[in-house]
Parts: sequence; C-alpha cells; structure tokens
Amino acid sequence: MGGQSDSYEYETEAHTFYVGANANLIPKRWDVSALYSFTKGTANIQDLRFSSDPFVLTVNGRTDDYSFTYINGSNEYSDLEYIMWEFELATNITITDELGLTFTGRYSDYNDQEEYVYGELDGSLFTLSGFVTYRF
Amino acid sequence: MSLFIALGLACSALAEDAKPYDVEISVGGSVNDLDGNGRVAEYDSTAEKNANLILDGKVSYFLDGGAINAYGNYLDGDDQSYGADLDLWNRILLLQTDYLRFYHRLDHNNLDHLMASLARSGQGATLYHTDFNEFDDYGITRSEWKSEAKLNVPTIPGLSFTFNHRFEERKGMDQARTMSKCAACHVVGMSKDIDETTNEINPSVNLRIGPMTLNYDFLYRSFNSGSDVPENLYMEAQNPGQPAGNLDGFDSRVQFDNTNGSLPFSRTPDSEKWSHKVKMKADLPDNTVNLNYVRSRATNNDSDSGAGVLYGNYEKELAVDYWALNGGWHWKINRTMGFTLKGKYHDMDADEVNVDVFESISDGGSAGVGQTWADFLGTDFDFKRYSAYDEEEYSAEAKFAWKVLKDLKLKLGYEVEYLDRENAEYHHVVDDTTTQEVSIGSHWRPLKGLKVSADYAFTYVDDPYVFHDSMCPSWEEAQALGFAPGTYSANSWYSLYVYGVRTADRSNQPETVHDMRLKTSWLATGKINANMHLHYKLAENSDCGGSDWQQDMFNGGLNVMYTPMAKLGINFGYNYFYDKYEAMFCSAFYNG
Repeated sequence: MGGQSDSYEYETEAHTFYVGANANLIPKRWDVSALYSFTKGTANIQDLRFSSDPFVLTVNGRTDDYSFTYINGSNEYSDLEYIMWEFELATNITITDELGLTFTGRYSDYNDQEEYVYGELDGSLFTLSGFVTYRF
Repeated sequence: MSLFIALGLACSALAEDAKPYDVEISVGGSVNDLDGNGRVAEYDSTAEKNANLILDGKVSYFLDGGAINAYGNYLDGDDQSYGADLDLWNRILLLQTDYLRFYHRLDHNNLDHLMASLARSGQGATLYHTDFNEFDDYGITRSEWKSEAKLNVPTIPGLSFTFNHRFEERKGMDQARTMSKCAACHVVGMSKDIDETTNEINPSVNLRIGPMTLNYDFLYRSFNSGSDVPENLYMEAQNPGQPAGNLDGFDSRVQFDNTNGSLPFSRTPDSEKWSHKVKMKADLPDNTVNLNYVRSRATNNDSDSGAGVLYGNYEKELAVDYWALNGGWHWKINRTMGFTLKGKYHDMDADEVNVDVFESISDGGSAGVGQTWADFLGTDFDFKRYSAYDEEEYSAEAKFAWKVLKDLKLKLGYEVEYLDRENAEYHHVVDDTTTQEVSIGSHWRPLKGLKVSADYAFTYVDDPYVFHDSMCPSWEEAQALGFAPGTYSANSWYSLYVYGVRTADRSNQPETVHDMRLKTSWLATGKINANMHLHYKLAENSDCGGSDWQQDMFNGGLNVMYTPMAKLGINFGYNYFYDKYEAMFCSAFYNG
C-alpha cells in the first residue's frame, strides 16, 4: 500500500457569440431575419505529473515493476474541445390579413476536436421548412 | 436535397367585426438532412427523418364573462405540444392544462477507450470490455402533462381552492454499465429500456382576511419505474496471489461471481414523497411579517426487495424526514430606508440501516471448509449505515437598504448559517460548519438612460466541509507503516489496509469567498440599447491537509441592440466563461 499525490488544475472555458438582424422590407407584408451563433467550449486538466522511480513488486515469487510515472499523460484523456455554430435565415410573407407564408432555412454544425469516450461526434444538420398560416 | 412542400389551405371565410373567436392554423412541412453524429441535433427528434409535417394552431373563443384558449403544435410523434385554458363566470373558475413531449438524443459509450491492461506474469487478470449492444442508438422521449384548476369561492371573498396535477413520463433506451471485480476487470455495456413515470398531486387552499393571508399546500409525488432491469453474468473470482484457475478459497472473499448466475444491475427504485406546507403572511402598515412551516417524508419503496447477494438485507424501507420553520420581517423605516430580517431552522433525519453483508462459504484454502472469510478473520463485515442526510441547520439574515440620493441606492447585508451534521463521525467529515456572509451593493443612475449596479460579498466559512483522512499515504509514509514495496498480506482487506491508512484532510469547499458583480444597462439613444455584465469569484481554502485549494471563476458578457431605422434591427452579443480550480490527484497502489 502506498501512493503519490500531485495537485493539478482543471480549467473550463467557453465563448459564445451571436449576431442577428431583422428587416421589415415591406411594412406589414414582408419580414426577413438572419441569425448566426457560435459556441466554443474547452476543458482540460493541467500540471499533473508524477516523478517517482520504478520499484519492483514481488508476490509469491513473481515479480513485476511499477512506477507512478506510468500514469503521466492520462490527464489528456479528460481534454474536451468542441465548436458548434448555426446559421438561420427566415422570412414571413403576409399575403392578405388572413393568409401568410413562413420559410426557414437552418444549418447547424458540431465539430468535436477531442473525440474520446463517445467516439466520433462530428455532425451537421440542414433543415428547410415552410408553412402557410390562415387566420379567421 | 429534397423539395419543400407547403400545403395551402383552399378555404376562406369572411371575418365579421367583433367576432367572438380568433382562429389561426398553420400547415406545412420540413426537409432535413443529418450528416454524421446526432449530437448536433441533441433535442431535435425530426433530424433523422428526411421530411416531416408541421401542424400548428391557436383558437380563442370569448364567452360572456370568460374565455377559452387552446393551442397545439405537432412536428412528429416525439415533438408535440398542446394546451388550453378556460376562464368561467368572471374568473370564479380557472382551468389550465399543458402537454409537452420532446426527444433527448443520448450518446453511446463504445467503451473503446478502456485500452489499459495490466496482466501480471502467470496471471490472467486484465482489463477488457464488451459492448453487448454496440449498434443501438440511445435516447429518451420525455413528456409532461401539467394541469391546474382554481376555484375562487364567490360567497367568501379571499377564499380559493387550487388543485395542481403533474404527470411526467420518460420512455426510451439508455446504456447501462457494470464490471466484474476480483476477477478480470470486465467492463460491459448493455441497452436498458427506460419506462419511468412521475405522478404528482398538489391541492392547496388560500384564505385572505384583511391584512392576513393563510395558505395550506399538500403534495404527494410517486415515482415508478417499469424499466427492464438488465442482468449480467459476472466473471469467475480469481485469486490475485495464485495462477489463473487456482482459487485457493478466494471465492469466499467476494460477495458474488459467476457461480451466482446472472444478476441484476442498474436498478432504479420506486419512491414516494409527501409534504405539508403552512404559510402565514401579514401585510401591516410599513411592516410585512411571514411565517412558514414545512414537513415532508420521502421513501424508497424498493430497498427491501433487491437480490440479497447484491444488496444485503435492509429489512425495511428507507425514508428521509424533513421539517423546517422559517420566517421574515420587513420594516419600511421611512421613505428612504428599509430593513429585512429572516430566520430559518431545518432538521433532516434519515433511517439508519443495518446492512447484512452477504458472505460466501469457503470450500477450502486459507479459510476452512464451511467458514466465511469473516469467520476466518474473527471479525464481522455487517455494519450499521448512518445517513449523511442527518443534519440540523440554523440561519439568520439581516439586510438594510438606504436610498441615499434620488439616483443612488445602497444595500448592506449580513447572513449567518450554522450547520450541524449529526453523523459526521461515521462519514469522517467536519461535524459543524458556520458560514458568515457580509455584502454591500449599490444601484446608481449617473445619467439618463444609464443604470449601474455593483455588488460585493465576502463569505467566511468555519470549518468548511472536509473529508478527514482522505488521501493515500505517500510511498515513504506507507513504508513507515510497514507496507514495503512487494509486501503482500493474505489477510488484508480494503477498509483496513486502504481506507484505514489514509491521511490528511481534503476539500473542494471554500474557507473564504470574494464575489464581485457589475451590471450596466445603457439606452444611448433611441437607437442603441446595450447591457454588460461581469462576475468574478475567488474561493480559497488554506486549511485542508497542508495543501491549498483555490477556484477562480469569471463570467462576462455584452449585448447590443442597434435599430438604425424603424425597418431594421441588428443585435449581437458575446459571453465568456472561465473557471479554474485546483485539486489533488492521488494515485494509490494496493497489493493485497
């Protein structure tokens, strides 16, 4: 029984940015809007390092060597880094007081730059939708 | 790329003036193209469909002395919402109901990262894994139905009865994991069907008489899991001191292995909770006084129905009792000053459990035939579990607010909290903690359109929550205790030779905290509206085992809305979050 300890730092960082605009191209008839959002998140363990000499274990005549330095570098397993961004373009068209049209296009992208436990998480989604609205 | 299809409605109606209803119906569709992993669409159930319908509608109907409103939205079976509210007889009876269903896509741990392997010479022990359902996709459909009915008794003004109901359902499939120990370390992943319901009823009565308001609230919540419980056939126990296949009586030192057959794991127990709340409030001239009482009981209904070999024998259900009394007094001293005093006491008490550890009978080796390992050691592994929930807490808070100038308001506050952990000695933690907080804040309007608020709070904790004797001894300390490298004790067991020799206190709770916040809101002109927020927290503990603990947290952001003309609006924002804390990593080596 024995052990070795070392202090380490766990650092988490996140940046979130968005920019959007909406324009009323024809008053009460035609609106257009756009939105871009970006998120980057990182997390990692820093400064974890062991430095003991290897020692030999002898158990019932069998020997093996061991050193706490064998686990150096394992902190990198905890590294996380991803980037997600999304762009959306939408428009509302009022044909009459009763009838309107809405169209939306959206593209989303997820980029996992430290894939590990859950494997490859990179993916993208493109969605184009539209509907007609009737009021009475 | 698929084509977008919009379905138009070919009907029309002539609206009449002052018509008693409003109806809005939307019909359309969506095409979707998902490429790669579904994490990008974590909460979007339609992403994996090439196309889906869009159905949406709202209806309002106005009655004489009331109204009915209803709405609905349907994208697919796992993405829909509906609701309605009804107001009858000039708000004497109010009914409201809302239903929401959505899908949460979950990740699948392929276990491939478990690549470590340490097979000692002449021994088969190693670390490996099996994902039994590697092609399954995981996700949970969550639905919630909430309803409320309120009756304002017309003959007794101020008296009302309310009945709330909530029903939540989680259905789908998730990954459950377990591993064999004291054998090869075999980590396995299996699919687990999830079928959980939470049912909540919550009646209450409210009475207002003059300046007094009285309220009684009852809550009953039940949680039921009809999920299939996965089973695993664990590996055969293996003697770490002998060649593979030679148990030499080692199987009497483990609670279960493959000889017990397949065993359940990842069980979620059913539970219930009851609570009663009584509230009283008096709105007096320049004074407001309130007093509240809460009593609750939460019970685990399955603690006595597990497989004995795994869970021991608890013999009874596990329950946590809680009661609390809190009150407050607000005094409006004059037009510029206010004083608030609050106090609270709570007591939490959980059942103690006699844990009857299942002990295998030896068929030879160190322990004689027919003996348990405990018999051989002359000890008893059964124990009484004292709950860490058992605690009493007292807290008091005083705040003073002073409007110094027309555009400047100052706040001063002091708060003290005393926590007594009744079973601290059994959990090797600090038995009582006193937390004091001093705060100062201000709201300032230096210019027309500009608002600034700044707050600072200092917290001092004596003593913060700490685990005593929580670190493995250094190799040098271990050798001084007689654990030379390579020593092997056939009689060693974890509680004595691993936990028993640990030293030093560790904590991730602060002794001091500095918390600073700054917020501004600026309406520059009619065209620019900007707000900014900054938050910094520095937490430290220099009283844990000779090693300091520290946390730095910063969060800041800026949002701007710019309207250069009536027809155009532009907005942008940025937020930054940073958190860093120091902690201690302890790598232990145990040969026994």
